[in-house]
Amino acid sequence: MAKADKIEKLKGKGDGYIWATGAAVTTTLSIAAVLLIVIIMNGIVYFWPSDLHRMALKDGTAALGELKDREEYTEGTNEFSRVQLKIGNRDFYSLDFKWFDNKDVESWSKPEDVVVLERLEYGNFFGSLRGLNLANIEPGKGSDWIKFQNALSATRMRLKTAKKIEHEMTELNNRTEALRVKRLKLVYKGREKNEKKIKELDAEMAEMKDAFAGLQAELTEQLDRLSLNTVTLVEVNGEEKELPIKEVVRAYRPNQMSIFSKCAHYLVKVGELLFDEPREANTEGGLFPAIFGTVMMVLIMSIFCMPMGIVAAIYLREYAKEGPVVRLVRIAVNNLAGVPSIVYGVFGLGFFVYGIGGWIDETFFPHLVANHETKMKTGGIFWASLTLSLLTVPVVIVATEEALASIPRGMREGSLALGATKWQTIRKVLLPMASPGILTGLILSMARAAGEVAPLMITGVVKLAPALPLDSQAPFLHLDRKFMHLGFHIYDVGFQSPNVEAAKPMVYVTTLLLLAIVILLNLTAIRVRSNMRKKYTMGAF
Amino acid sequence: MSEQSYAEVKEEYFRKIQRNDRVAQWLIVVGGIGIIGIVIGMLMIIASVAMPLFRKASIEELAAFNLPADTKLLGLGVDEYKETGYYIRQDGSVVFYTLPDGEVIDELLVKVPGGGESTIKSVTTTGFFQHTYLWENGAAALVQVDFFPEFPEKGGRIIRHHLKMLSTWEPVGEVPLQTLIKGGGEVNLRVDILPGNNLLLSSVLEEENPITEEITRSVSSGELAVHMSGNITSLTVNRVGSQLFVSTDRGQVGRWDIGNLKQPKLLDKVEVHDDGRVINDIALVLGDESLVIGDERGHLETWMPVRTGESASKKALNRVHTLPGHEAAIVQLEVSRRNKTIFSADETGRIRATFLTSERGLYEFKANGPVQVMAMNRRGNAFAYADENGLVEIWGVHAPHPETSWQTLFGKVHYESYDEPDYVWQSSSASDDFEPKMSMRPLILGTLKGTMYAMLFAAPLAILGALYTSQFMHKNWRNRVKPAVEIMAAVPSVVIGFLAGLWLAPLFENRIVGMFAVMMVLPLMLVLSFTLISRYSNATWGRRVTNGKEFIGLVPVLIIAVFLSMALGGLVENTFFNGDVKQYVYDWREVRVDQRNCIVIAFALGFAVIPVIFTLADDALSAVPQNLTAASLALGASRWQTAWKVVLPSASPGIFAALMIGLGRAVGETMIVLMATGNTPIMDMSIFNGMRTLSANIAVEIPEAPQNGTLYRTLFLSAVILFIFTFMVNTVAEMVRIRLRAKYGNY
Repeated sequence: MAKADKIEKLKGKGDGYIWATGAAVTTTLSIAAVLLIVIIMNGIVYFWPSDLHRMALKDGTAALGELKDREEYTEGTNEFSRVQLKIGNRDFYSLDFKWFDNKDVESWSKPEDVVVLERLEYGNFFGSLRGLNLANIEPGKGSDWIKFQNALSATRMRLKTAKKIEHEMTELNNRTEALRVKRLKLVYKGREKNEKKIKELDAEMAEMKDAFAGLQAELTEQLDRLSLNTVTLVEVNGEEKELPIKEVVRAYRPNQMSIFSKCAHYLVKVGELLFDEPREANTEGGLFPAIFGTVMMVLIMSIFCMPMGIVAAIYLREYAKEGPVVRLVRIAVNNLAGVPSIVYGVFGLGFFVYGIGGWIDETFFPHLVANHETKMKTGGIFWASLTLSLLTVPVVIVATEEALASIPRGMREGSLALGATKWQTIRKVLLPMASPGILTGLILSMARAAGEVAPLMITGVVKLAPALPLDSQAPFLHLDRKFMHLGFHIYDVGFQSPNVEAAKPMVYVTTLLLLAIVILLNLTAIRVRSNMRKKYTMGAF
Repeated sequence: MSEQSYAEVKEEYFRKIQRNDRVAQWLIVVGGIGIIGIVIGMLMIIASVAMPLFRKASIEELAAFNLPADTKLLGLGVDEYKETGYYIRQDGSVVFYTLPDGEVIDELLVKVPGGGESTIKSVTTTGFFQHTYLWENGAAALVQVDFFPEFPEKGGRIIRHHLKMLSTWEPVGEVPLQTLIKGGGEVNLRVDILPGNNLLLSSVLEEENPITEEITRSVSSGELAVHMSGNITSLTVNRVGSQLFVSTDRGQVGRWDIGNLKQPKLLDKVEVHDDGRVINDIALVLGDESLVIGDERGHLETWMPVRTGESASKKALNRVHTLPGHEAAIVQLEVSRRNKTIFSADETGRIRATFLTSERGLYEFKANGPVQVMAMNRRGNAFAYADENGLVEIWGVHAPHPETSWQTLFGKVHYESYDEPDYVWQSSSASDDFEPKMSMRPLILGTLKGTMYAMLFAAPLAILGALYTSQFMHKNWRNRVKPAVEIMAAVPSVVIGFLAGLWLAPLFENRIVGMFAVMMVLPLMLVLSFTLISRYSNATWGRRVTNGKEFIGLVPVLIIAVFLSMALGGLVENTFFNGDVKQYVYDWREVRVDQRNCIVIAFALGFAVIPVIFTLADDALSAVPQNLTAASLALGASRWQTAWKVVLPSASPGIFAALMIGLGRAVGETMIVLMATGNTPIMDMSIFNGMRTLSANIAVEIPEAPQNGTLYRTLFLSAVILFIFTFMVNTVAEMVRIRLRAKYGNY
């Protein structure tokens, strides 16, 4: 009995330390979990139309807003609690969030008729509707709210036609720009020689300018007409404001909404996030250009990094003889993986943008250079993608090599024994077998590229790109254009916007989206890889 | 198909596939080796951008021509396009000529103010292309030579020139020995040297009557008796006309506040050298902060007002830079109007260009005899001088990065308006005469500081975690935890940075004590929970959590520990730190607690490198052959003893490699430090402050850096430093891993 105990004790010697090492794992995973939870919690609730609470305060004023936070605090020996409301109405209060001490609150209520207006400026409006002043919209019959809703949808419809004019104007602008560049080229080639052509161009441009001015006038007229329709709003303390209806994006009464209409509202907002343009310095509206830019950049990157990585891996695994050279290449590859991403950015800027871009400009666009303009000698989606493809190439190399290494020797020998050449073996046997591994590498590199920001910041990302890199304008794919990116969006909106507090919810949503994309890509890669492993461990024996 | 043709087809087919094979082999080998090329090429290209920082300045002769032998020139200059030059003849007329042939194109006369005839007494250069004329009758004027380009419609460029009288003074009774006029803009000041070391200060005040628009001129003046040993050799006034500097032939320099002409106030009187040697010339370097002094022994040094220890409220002139000197007496000094370059000419005719901040000798010229006049143009790309014999030489100058030297990059430099030498990074400012401060030291220190704190946090967690995962964790859980860690590694750093900067930092701000308390409470709780569990380990629930699932059982312990610490933190803060630990720390050590401090960085950056270290360490630990562990266990060692004494030492090179690679990641990480530190380049290791790292610095500054400017190249240099550092760290790690693989490959 005593002996058994002793043995048991000896066996368990140092078990305390095991617990300590276990604690390390727990801590690490907990931090990761907290990170995920914080992002999900903050990101997911943003679009939910929460109820509006009205607080009557003891000093006679009132406050209206969404309940955001609650905390207890001590001052001396007394304990207090306070609540944080999102009070919106930036035009009235100039701040979005405010703390209220519970001891100052007289009473709480949830008025039925309060409205939330999403506006083009100053964020949300919380308050109630007082009246409508419609000059040229037939609102139909019903309560003020119904009339307002009708007027709002009519306005949105008319804004769509205005948008069409805007679109035409952009087209016209692009065409004028093309002509301007053409003119520059002619002037560069010799003003005297091309006198006639330049004159023609000038005439054409003047014509376009007139057309542009015509459109502009039409647009202004339409908008002015729309501006005549206003809605009178009143905030919780009775201050009034008259707002043109065209400034309102969306209006709803959260305290009257059922859970289903709230869900519908939520989905509409998610749709807006995915397919709409940003508003209010990126702190509201959608993320479409950023999502599009990210996807586009990752795709262009893949086109470059995939062949490079595969070729390098095939060389390492199938052609190079194991020796000092191969060892050197391996070290080089691993070094490439370890070089800080900002250094890639610096390289991209110095080599791609200023080096190759500068050369392209001087060789193909000397007329632009003469006018101190740049085409390729400035950051753009192409240079950013190239830079990132260098950054992610080690990922593809390592994954492909691993995949090639896991193919049983018998496969190669069998193929060669049947008379195939080495290249045939690679093309017909090894590459198809390694394709899941290569795919893993590609997916991982895409995930890495989607999340990388530092090198992009200096090779072509901007906070607000005027046009997408892919559009209906010839040549359709504009590799020289600057683009928007989800990761940079996080940095820019979260740290560079004037009102960080108000921008935070949007940043959480963006973060959630980016994180979801990256994690999804990684999970896919892990799944593909584990399937592949299963397949080959079976096949090897 | 006949036998023959079949063979032919086969032949052709074989040729084809063999050709394909050769082409493929060739392509793949080239491609593979290309990868090494890229790595080396990357370093080369980045370094090649940074290298010109250290390149020597170059000069080329643009023109040289002889004027008649007895011609003494009184002033000269070249326009910024290096197309036109001018010189001032003894009769005071300004002669313009074209470059490089020296053909005279224009001669402009300067009229004596107040009419009448008089001969020139002296012409001195007292500003950029500004010449103070003094006539024998006491009249004086400040003449500005201006060049401006014109771009005609038909293309090309014409350089126009003209003279502008910035200030005119009609004849006075007592003709001074020498005169200096500061004019243009708000200032219109005249300083006369009278016999007997007396100075006469006069200033013109122009007032416009708002109704009649009539301008009334009133002159105010005051006398200043210079009580210094020796005679006045040189004097200079700053651009705004508020300070006067005087040097004497007994080695003294004085500084006066002449804001009020009636009562000049002596600010400083210093002995430049104890031996009372002659100071031949003084000049104010661009920015009017540093005074450069040249003496008869060829010493060249700069002085500036500095706040010294004992009299902390007042600034006094002090020696700041001792620049490389001459072998012969310095007779004349001139400064660049573009940057802080100083030109010193000695009596043998040698002219040296020296940069103030970097104390770097840039280039030099050798005239045949003593130099009469010299000047640099506005763009700083041409320098002209004339010697006593009428030889005029114009040189093109190319010194793109004079402000950079090893000392300015890595050493302490005494910058202008600083009281002592310091390491400073401050790259840009709105004003032109700003002295760029580009010390890499604060950035390197910041990088190391952030990395150190991050590694302190990450290394134990990652290595212990890997040890547990590889040795003790239940196999089923292991297969789940490893991919989870892999996904952790994939979390974009911008996400971590955002959370650290906008969520964690404000959260920590009021819970600093709590954070430290976690470090003490958690181990205590661990010990407690372990004793508890080992007592009940035979119970069913005890069994369930031991045996490879300890880490799940610890989740509640961790949560309780964190909450307990936070509560305890508040309590401790109230009891011991008067409820405000930040104020307490400030009172105690004068350290301000930033919101974005190193604790946040340690967490965020640490979290980013944990997965890297964890995965590599786990690989190394798992690669330790089973024979070793089996033997150890068979000999009676406990699980922990085996892991600690057998597995860990065997895998230690691998763990070292993992740490190295983690270190490399932490050093180069950009977004997290960019977002979660305040990005202030400070020289302070305090955990309560932020920092600026090399990588974040590049991200912050490079969008603003003009291509091929000094800042641009300096940022490339910091990229080179980062590259080399990570390259070394990774190479070491990789070699260790290769050796380890070779060692255990045999098992």
